[in-house]
Amino acid sequence: MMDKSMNSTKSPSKKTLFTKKKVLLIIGAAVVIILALYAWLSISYWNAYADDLKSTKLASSQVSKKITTGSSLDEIISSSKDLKEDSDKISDCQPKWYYSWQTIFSGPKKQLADCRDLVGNLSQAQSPLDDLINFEDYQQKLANIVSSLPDGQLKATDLAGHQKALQGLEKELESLAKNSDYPEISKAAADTLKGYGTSIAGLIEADKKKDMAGFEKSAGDLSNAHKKLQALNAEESKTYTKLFDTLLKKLKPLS
Amino acid sequence: MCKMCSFAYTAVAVSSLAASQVTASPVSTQKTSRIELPIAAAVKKIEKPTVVEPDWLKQQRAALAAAASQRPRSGVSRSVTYSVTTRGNITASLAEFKTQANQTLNSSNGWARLGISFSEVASGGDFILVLSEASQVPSFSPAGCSSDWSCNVGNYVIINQDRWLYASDAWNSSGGSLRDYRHMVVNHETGHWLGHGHTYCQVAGQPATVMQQQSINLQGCTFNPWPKDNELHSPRLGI
Repeated sequence: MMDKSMNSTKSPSKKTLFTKKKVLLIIGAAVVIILALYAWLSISYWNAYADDLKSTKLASSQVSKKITTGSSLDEIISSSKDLKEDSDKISDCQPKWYYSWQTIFSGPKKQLADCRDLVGNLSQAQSPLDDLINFEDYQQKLANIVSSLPDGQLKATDLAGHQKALQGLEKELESLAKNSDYPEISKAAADTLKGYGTSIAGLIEADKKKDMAGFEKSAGDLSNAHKKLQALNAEESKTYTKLFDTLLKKLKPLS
Repeated sequence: MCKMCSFAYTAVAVSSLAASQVTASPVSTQKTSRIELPIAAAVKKIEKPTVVEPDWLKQQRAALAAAASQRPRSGVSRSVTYSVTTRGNITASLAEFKTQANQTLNSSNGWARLGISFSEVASGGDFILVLSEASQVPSFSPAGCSSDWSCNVGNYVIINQDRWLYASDAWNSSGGSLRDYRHMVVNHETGHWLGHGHTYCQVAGQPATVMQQQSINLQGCTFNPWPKDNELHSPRLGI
């Protein structure tokens, strides 16, 4: 009875020991799994960090390449927007706090340094990038106005309608030019519209008075107003060249 | 883990740098000009506006042409005198200038169709025909005359020596001859003296009026050295 009772007390303690070992084993395995998971997540994180740097550098080189090889303006603007988007992603270079301690190792440390260099250089290009994107937006709106100008053969009976449409365009241009940073091109556009407006008004007046000389003069003025569109072209080309040059200069350290 | 990480970081960093090497160089205007810009694209689509002539204008033109056709083509009704002079360094032959200008003025294709006879006199006259060195042309009117073109100021009908000798780019590129240019420039500047202002090309492909600035741009018209029927009147002489 006594032996039995002693046996019965020894057996539970062996069981406890086994259970403790089992628990330790499970905890150990869990720690190993967590560490392995953390390591895997770290690698993925730094790979993604490197991808962002790579993508931003690539986007910057794409902008330069597209400008220098004369790609279409749409492509240049699209790559400029990509570059802006990419540079926003890496704007502070700061790794997540639970990975940031890893910058004591040479790989992540170098990536952090690369990122800071890149962001430093990109900060110089931000303003020219914004200027180019904003100018493009402005030019598209101006082009819409220009493409609404009366063209081809105009009937004298339709001149009043053209005059009204031109007045609308002039107002549209005025409000557009108010918020523009490009007074030269706004002025060239305004001069062109004014030339169209004045000559059409002259034609209407001459038509009313049946004034041959006045009609011929205003028809000539209208033809000259059309020629003034070339000045607008020249101003546009000049501004784009300037913006491209500035942007390329700022992107050069990134190449 | 750290050895693993370092290996992965190095591999990624090297590949990222290798992929992004593109040399940026300052863009040239030539390269920019290959890019189709928004306004340039819009302008390309806009045709030159021309106004369809209203009926009243057609009627007035027809009336002028009819009146011109009734004027005497032979027989002089009005005599105009002019003298010839030069200004600046003249390398062209003055004798040739005098002869050719007189031929133009009295040609049966020219202003003589108004019934005018143009006679050269030694000095004075109704107007003074000047052959001027190009750089001296603005001396007649700094605001109104350019060293590039001929000009009329008051009684001075000024022919720019460079134009007299070489015509103009617009004229030459349209295939006009130098003799025709000389007819045109004498008729055009004399036309100003007769009281005409500038006119513009109305119908592309048709001969220009002589009072159109054909030296600068034919505006789609074809060159024409002589006054057209609808130009045959003179506000100055009242005919």
